[in-house]
Amino acid sequence: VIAEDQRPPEPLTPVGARTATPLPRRPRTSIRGKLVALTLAVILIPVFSVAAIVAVREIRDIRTQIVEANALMGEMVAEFGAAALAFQDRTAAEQTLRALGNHDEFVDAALYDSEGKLVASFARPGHSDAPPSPSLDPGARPRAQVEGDRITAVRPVEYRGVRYGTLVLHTSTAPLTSRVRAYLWGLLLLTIGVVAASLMLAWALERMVSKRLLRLAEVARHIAQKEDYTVRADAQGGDEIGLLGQAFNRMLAEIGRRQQQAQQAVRTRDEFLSVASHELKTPLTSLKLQVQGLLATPPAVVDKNEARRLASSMALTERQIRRLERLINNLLDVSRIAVGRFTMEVEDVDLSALVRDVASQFTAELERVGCRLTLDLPDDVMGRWDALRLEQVVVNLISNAIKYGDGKPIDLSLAVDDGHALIRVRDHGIGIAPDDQKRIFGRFERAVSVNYGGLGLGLYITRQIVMAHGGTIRVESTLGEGSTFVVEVPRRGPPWQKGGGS
Amino acid sequence: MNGVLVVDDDADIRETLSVVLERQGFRVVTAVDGADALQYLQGGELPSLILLDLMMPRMTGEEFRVAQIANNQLKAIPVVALSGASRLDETAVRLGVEVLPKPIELSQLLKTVSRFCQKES
Repeated sequence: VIAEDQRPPEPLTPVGARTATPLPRRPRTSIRGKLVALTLAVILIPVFSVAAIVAVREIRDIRTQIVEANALMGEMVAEFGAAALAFQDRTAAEQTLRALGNHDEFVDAALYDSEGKLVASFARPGHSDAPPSPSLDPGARPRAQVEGDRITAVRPVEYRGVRYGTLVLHTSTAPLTSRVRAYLWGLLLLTIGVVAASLMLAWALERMVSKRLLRLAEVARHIAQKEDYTVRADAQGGDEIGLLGQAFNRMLAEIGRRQQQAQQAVRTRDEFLSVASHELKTPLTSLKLQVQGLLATPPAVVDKNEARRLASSMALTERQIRRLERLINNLLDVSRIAVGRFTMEVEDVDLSALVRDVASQFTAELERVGCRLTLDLPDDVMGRWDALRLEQVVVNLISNAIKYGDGKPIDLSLAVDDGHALIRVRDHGIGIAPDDQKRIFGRFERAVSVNYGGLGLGLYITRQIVMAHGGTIRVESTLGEGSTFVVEVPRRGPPWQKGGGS
Repeated sequence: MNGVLVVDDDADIRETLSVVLERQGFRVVTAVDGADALQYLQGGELPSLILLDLMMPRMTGEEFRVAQIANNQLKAIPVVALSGASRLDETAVRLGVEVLPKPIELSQLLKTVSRFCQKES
């Protein structure tokens, strides 16, 4: 016998398996990133909008001012220049133009006579890029237009409706461009300032919020991984996060307390189980040995009827002792399953012989209820199983078939397919309703009323044993026509049992 | 003696085991716990087999087994544990002894005892 303390995986391990994906260390989008984006949007969008509106209006105003100043000056020069042109007085004309020198924005000016010949010109030193052209179309139409960084104004010089010549005036738009440049610089500085401010804000908030939240998440992660409920989160600071930390710690304390309680409860139950099994089995031992001893060597009773009655009573007593033993063992099995202490001893087993052996134990009982059990067993169904546990399975299935079989015939067949052995137990009794079919494999469950007796543990234990072997159990049933239970177990033993063959 | 030493704190078990084993012709002596058993072994003849309950007051089966192994004269006596654990009894496995699970089956008891003892009659 290879004694291996195996804990079959799925049903017998305590629940609470860690299926959740681990918490990531860092958030995908950080609060800091969001804050920076939000601050920038909130500050920059209105600032840019306002700046744009103000700039547009300002630029338009300045432009209007320049154009108006240009027009005014032109008018004045034309007024004064008219006389000079009328008398062909070049000196007076130049004096008139020189008066413009007082105004910074004027770059240059030129006066032409009625035939389009240059009479006088003025150029601000270092500003005018080209000398005035010596002649001009005498009939040039008045205009004012922006050309690059200057405004060119052409206007007739008239006096009392008589045109004496033409004035060409260039005004610089430098004040305009410098104002625009100033706006752009201002906006750039403002943007840099806002970005810097929002980064600082985010940094400050990160210290106040994100870092502490991340630490809290780190503690939670540690606990989830290590199941260590003794660690505590940083609950400093009277703000919301501090409060969160406090609540978190209180929850941890509570979880820790409950975990301890649960562990204590499991310990208590284990101890109770050990004591109870000893206490229940001790009286049963004496009882069983005494009765079996009497059955083995019956007391000599002369009267034949008396002897038969005694033998029958002894047999009944022994049967009831076995029943009591089964009940106690079932209870202990269930408790062991609950605490994950269900042991398996896998060895080479001939299932065919095992089933035949179990069936023979039922001969007397079958006779008593008047029920026929038909076996269909191939020779030598070898496999790696826990013989005693599989015996329990077959005992449970046959007992159920008898109990709920209504005295009608029972068929038990064994079949082999590649890799599996199939035990099929069919009765023709009361059957199981479809809803109940799912329920009956649960703990303390049964399809029928309590009047049928039993603790409702048989099929639960059966299923646990089958699953511990890596097998399956299913039921096919029609109410009133009977049930068929099919157990399928792999022949090579439980898949998680290492080693195996011998 | 070539008989069986039954060590169990339960009087009914002691009596029952005595009755059924004696009826089969084995010699039986009893002890109520480990200490009692040790005292008997130090004074009298050595049995061919010790049937040992594991859960007893005063001196448990485990303590008895440890003391027995430590004693050169006693350590060769085979021990079969009577265990309430239905299958593998962890203590029994640790002690390296065979186990008769309670409630004991008469046939199993006789088979086991016969392996170690001879009937007197």
